[in-house]
Amino acid sequence: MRNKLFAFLLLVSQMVLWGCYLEGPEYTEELDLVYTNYHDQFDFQSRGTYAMPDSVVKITGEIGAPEYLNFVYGAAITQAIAANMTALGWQRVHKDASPDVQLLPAAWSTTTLVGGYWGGYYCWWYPYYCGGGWYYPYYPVTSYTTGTLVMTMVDANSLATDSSKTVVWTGAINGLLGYSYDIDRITNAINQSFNQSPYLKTN
Amino acid sequence: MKKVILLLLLAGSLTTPAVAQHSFSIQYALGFGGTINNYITSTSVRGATFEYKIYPQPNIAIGIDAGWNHFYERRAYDTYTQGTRSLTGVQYRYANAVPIFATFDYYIQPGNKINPFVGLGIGTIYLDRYVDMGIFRVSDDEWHFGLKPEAGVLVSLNPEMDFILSLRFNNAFATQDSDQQNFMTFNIGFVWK
Repeated sequence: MRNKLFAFLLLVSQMVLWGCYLEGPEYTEELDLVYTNYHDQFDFQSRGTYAMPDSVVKITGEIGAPEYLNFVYGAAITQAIAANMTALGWQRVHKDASPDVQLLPAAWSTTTLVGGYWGGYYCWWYPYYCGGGWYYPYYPVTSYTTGTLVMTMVDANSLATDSSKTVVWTGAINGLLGYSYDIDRITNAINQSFNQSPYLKTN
Repeated sequence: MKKVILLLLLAGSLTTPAVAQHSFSIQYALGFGGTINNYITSTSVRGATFEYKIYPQPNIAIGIDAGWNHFYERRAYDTYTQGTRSLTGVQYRYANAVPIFATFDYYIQPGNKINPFVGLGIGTIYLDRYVDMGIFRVSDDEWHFGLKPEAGVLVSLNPEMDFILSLRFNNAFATQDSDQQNFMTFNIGFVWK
């Protein structure tokens, strides 16, 4: 019997030890994503000028006057985009100077609440059904906030019937917002979005 | 599938003499290789197998076994391109495989201290796979028809307990929505008789 118990405990302890190693992301930046897509019929090489606002529009979902990201973030974003565009051979011009393309950065954040529960679903709503006496239901709630920046490049000379412009390139970055180093992460992600878009290079 | 396994066990028990021996086994299962490597290249160090067997004859066993293997791999920050679209990030890939088999084993030297055996399992393998990238997850899970050839050896420790070493090939056949998947496990454990 002692042998059986020893063997069983040995196996269980092995499995528990193997189960102790970590899985999944350990750092916030490991959740950063960079997505790009482009119009494969658009000839980027024959274009060379672009216009871009100095501020980044903040998407709030509300109708009214546009809001902008605070200056620290907005300036860092537009500077990073401009540096990458310059490196690819583009020249920034005023929007009224007949640019070949327009680059429009916009950003938004989303906060998601995650509610746990203790004691089962009914304990949330009918605490008196849970047994063990009446008590207030306890459910810890955590939240996470993600930020998204979308850079949309449109053909400034396209003429769509619905007055919209043809989108020729999209770069989107998404990540979990933290309390520090977000500007560095955003800048790195912007650089990556251009690095993975070598077709943007112009003559 | 549960009904099939229960019927097989019942059929086995009906043809079993009343004095037939039976055994129970717990094994650590190291998962590796096979086509599952196309999805996750890392070895599965989390796995276990549980077996129950009845011996109608000293050299034959029928039984049931159920196991679990967890595969995990972190793929470094990289760019994945499909057509005009490119996505860059760190990927976390996970797979859980749960094989459940009705088994038939043939023992070559029953009664000896070292007793090699070969076996075949027929049943199902449940595969649950998911990929995390950023805060997004893509997942799929599927029940596959499964076959499991196995070869191993029992080493008698005392009249009531054996040490078991075996190599299994878990083959999950293709379904309408999923390709064929397979992986091997190296099993090590104890058998209580």
